[in-house]
Amino acid sequence: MRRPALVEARAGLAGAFARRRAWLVAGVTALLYALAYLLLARALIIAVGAGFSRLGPVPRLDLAPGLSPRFLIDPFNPPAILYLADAVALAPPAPILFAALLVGALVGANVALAVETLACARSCGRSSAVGVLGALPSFLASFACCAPTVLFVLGGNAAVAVVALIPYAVPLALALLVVSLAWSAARFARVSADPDAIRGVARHRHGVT
Amino acid sequence: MEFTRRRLIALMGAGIGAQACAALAPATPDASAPAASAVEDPLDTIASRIVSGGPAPDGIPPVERPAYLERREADKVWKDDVVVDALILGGVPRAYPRFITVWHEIVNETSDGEALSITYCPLTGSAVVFAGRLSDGRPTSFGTSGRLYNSNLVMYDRATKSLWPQLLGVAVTGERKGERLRELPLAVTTTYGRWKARYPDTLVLSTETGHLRAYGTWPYGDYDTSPQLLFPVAARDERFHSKKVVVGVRAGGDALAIAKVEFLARRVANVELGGTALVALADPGLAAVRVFRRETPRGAVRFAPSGDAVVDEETRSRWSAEGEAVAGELAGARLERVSAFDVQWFAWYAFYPKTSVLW
Repeated sequence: MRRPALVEARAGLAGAFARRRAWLVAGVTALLYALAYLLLARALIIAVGAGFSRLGPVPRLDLAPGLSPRFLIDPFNPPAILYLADAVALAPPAPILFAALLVGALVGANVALAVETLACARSCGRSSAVGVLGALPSFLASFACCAPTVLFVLGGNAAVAVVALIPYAVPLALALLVVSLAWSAARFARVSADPDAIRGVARHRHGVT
Repeated sequence: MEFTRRRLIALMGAGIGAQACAALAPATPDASAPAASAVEDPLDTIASRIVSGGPAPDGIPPVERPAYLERREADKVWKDDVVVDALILGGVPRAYPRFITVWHEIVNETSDGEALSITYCPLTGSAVVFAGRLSDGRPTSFGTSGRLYNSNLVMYDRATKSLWPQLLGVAVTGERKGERLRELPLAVTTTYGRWKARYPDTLVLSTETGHLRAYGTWPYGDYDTSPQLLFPVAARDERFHSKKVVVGVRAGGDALAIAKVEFLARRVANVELGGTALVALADPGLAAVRVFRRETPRGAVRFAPSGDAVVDEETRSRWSAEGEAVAGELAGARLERVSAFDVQWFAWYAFYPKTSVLW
């Protein structure tokens, strides 16, 4: 008898993240994703010749004048800039930083679950490539929030539409990643409980359609 | 609820498909589309084609209380090849590095008690100085609306909230609709090194703007050299690279684009524009171009190069690139400068498709 989907998803998450490898994969993926996100959103600046040291010693942290809680929701004004080197600075507006970390955490969890599902299925001699590919759309959608870069890639009339989508991009990506995570977790729970469950192998083997 | 693969893929597909469709659909009226009405107000047409550039009003924050560095301090910050928009205000030379103004687009300044705004649009490469006073005498400063027309900065005045595309200088919506701002023909676009060589006592806009930005970096990547545009324009012309720098001039309802690099070699040109006799003079020291009315105490004379100098053909007096007679019979006379500024070709053409071109 099948458990409710949410119960199954919770069990899958608990099962997968009982392994140290899952935490490692999720953490590394989240970090790399967040860095890529900040780079694409131009919040992590790597600009050869920028000469940040001409404006003051590096490394250094500059705080925005008139720092206030409004910076928490201001998508354009960074509350601080961390000058790491002469050509490297981190200048994320707070919502961009939150989005990078939150979406990064979800992408990391998705990837960790995919890896665990793959490893679990392989240990039973089954392939789970479809499961990994299933998470791909949400992974790609998670980059939709990097609108400034998307504008440069698309250009022309498309930019107008992309700009209009910016307010929806992060919520959409989050929704896709949460759905994908729940689906992957539920799937992992089933596979770990019954490795043949993948691709309905067990059902076909027993003549169930 | 069961998360089936089919349901999940359908959900993801719908989300991504919606994004793709929206990105490909024309979100603004096409330039070739017929006008809704034969008597449609051209300003209404322009207003209907204004699009969001992303930021909220003043999301790109103007510099409201500009601070300046002495040249010696500025030398520690800026290299000689940094592009600046520069002018002389109240007898004091001032330079505005684009590495700062690219983040703010407007510097609201006062000089001798009069408000003025030094504006720069990074997407059209145009720097225009406007008087901060409306035609009814009300003083005003300007803000960034976060909107664009023909990729060009649309400013709003803080007194009435009317919208003013920078390259038009005319309000297209709001209380001041149809009104033209007074452009101050003061600025040149040059490099910091060239400007300070001419004016060693120049002041330079400080990075203490009241805002925190990664000054010294350019947020628009290779936009200035790429042929690609980010936002739609009303008209396009392929005669030049879209980002080629021209000097835009308007007079009597006509427009002229001067190909800047080519003109710097030519040095002087006499033109008639909209019934106005003008002369364009290159300033080799600043690698800049200024345009003046050809009105002298001897009437509308013509100008010609003579060796390294420029002389008028009437009296053979020598004239400086700043439009002042420095030797000869007319020594001390000054030409009246008209508004002319660097701008990228695509933007000038989009605003003034009937523009003539001077090489």
